[in-house]
Amino acid sequence: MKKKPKILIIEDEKILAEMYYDVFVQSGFKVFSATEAKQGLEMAKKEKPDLIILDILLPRENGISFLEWQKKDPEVASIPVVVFTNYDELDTEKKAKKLGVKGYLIKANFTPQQFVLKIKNYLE
Amino acid sequence: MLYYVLTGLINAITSTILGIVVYFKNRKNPLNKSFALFCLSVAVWSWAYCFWPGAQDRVSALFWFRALHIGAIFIPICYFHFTIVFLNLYQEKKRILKLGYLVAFIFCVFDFTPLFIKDMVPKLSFSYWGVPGILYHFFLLMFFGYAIYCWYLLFRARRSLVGEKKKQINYVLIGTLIGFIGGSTNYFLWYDIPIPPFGNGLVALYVILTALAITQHHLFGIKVILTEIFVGMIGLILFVQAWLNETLWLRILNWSVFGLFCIFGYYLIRATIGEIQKREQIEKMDKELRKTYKELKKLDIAKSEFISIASHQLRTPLTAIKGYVSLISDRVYGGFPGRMQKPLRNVYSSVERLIKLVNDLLSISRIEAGKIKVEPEEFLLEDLINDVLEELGNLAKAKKLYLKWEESKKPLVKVFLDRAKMRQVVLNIIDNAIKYTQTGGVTINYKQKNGLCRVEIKDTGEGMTRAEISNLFKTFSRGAAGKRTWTEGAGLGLYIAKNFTEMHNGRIWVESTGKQKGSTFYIELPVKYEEKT
Repeated sequence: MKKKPKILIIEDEKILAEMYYDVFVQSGFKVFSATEAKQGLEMAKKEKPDLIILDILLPRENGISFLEWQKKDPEVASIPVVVFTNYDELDTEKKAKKLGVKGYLIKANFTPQQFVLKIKNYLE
Repeated sequence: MLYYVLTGLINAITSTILGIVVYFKNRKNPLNKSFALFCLSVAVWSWAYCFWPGAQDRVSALFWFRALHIGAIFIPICYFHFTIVFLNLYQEKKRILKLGYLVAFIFCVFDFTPLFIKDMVPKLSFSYWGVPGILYHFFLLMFFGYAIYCWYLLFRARRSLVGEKKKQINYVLIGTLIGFIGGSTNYFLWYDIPIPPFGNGLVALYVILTALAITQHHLFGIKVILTEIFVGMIGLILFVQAWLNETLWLRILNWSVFGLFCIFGYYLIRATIGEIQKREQIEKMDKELRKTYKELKKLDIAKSEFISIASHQLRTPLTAIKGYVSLISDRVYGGFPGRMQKPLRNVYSSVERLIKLVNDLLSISRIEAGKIKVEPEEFLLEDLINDVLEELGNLAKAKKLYLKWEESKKPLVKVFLDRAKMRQVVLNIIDNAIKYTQTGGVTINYKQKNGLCRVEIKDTGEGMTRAEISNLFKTFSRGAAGKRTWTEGAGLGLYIAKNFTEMHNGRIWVESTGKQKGSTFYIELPVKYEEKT
């Protein structure tokens, strides 16, 4: 049997986190969730997901801090990250891209199904 | 001997006048005070120098020699004081300054003892010249040490400066360098090197060059005073000359010259004052403009941040609505009655419209702030058009309009453009065409020719008059058709489309043969985007 792809969603908006969790589970993913950057990093170290979906505006430390820690940590540095946020700010996008994210996507522009397809493409 | 008396006198007069003028121009300014101190030290040295060559006996020669050394001892320290104030290094270097003043005072105390000047003996053509005491060697070390350090500081500062301040440093540096070298010729005879103090005349140069720095480059803001002194002195000479003339005709002539000079002098001073006032006004305005610019920059950053945060806050609930509606429509949560299909589609298209509005507002704020950059990548434009048509398919279907995509039969090359921006351009134009068409539909066509790609979007809508076309691509403007019948568009889409197209060195335009005859929008772009140099 083919192994389920593992993804980690770091998202603090409860409604959105639940929605994406459901849709990814239904699409055959194994999903882990975190609501803060630090918690997300710990979970990434523990679960070693195939891909991380990261929001930018998070409580306490933001998504950029997560990317900086992740880059410095050899345990998780190689895990691909896709930023999925509604925070559309050019400098932040540049910083995130400089820190090696696979994509900087705006949540409102995608339906959950379209987003799942995008993630499948990234994993391929 | 006359040469030494005269050079001493010139140095004394110039440094005294300059010191007094600078000090009284602005007594509170540390720069003026430190420069006046420097002038004072040179003046003490110079005035005593006028008396020493004429001394008749050893005792009076020794007295004037020691007196002139009071000035000489303070010259390097005062010069250092002036330099650090001038270069805004006072706080950083004030300890070295205090140490210098302390050492100078100690030397002064010993100046009138044989430890500093042991005796006076004849040397070269001089009847009396000093024999150095033990402290004299240390004094010379301090003299050159401080002078060289000052030049080093000035040179260092000069490298990192431009404009007025650099010019001022040039004058001060050259002036004091020549002045010090000239003054240093006094020290050879002390060590039995047969070189007389021929360079004394050069000391006055520092005064002249600093005066140039003042008049040309506003070092102390005393241009007016110097002009007044200059006019006054010449006026006085002319007055005395006119007064002393013996013949009537010469007297009339000289009085006339004096009168004319007074008139011209008056206008010269007035012109100088006027020029300075204008300059001060410009400087004031410049300061105010800089301040306003800084404040505007801050506001601009705050505005951008606010728009980013506000759009984030607006998008978050919209994302949830859009997401759940699309999941319900796709029966992810189970089936629902068929009559629910239409209301769900309406909710979805309303949310999409709101999301588009937020995206448009964000794009506009970036366009207005000049913050948008083209980030090109290779892709197939026909794929992008396909995606957009898929997205807008439901909207057209709801209005019972056809969406006809006339794909090119010839293979087309990949374009090198900003994908996200191109998507917004194509989406906005097709969305607009659907919005303003009530019957019929929209036909899309895409061709490539001579390094250009052209997308044509033809609708069977209201059509436009010439006047409407000329206002169409401006923010918040809509054709009369839009004003009259439909209200959903904010008029932002075409403005964004135009800006994004022009950013790619392309153009966008519309043609309409008249009312009820529909419109055709054209988007023309280079196949490969190249940044304008």
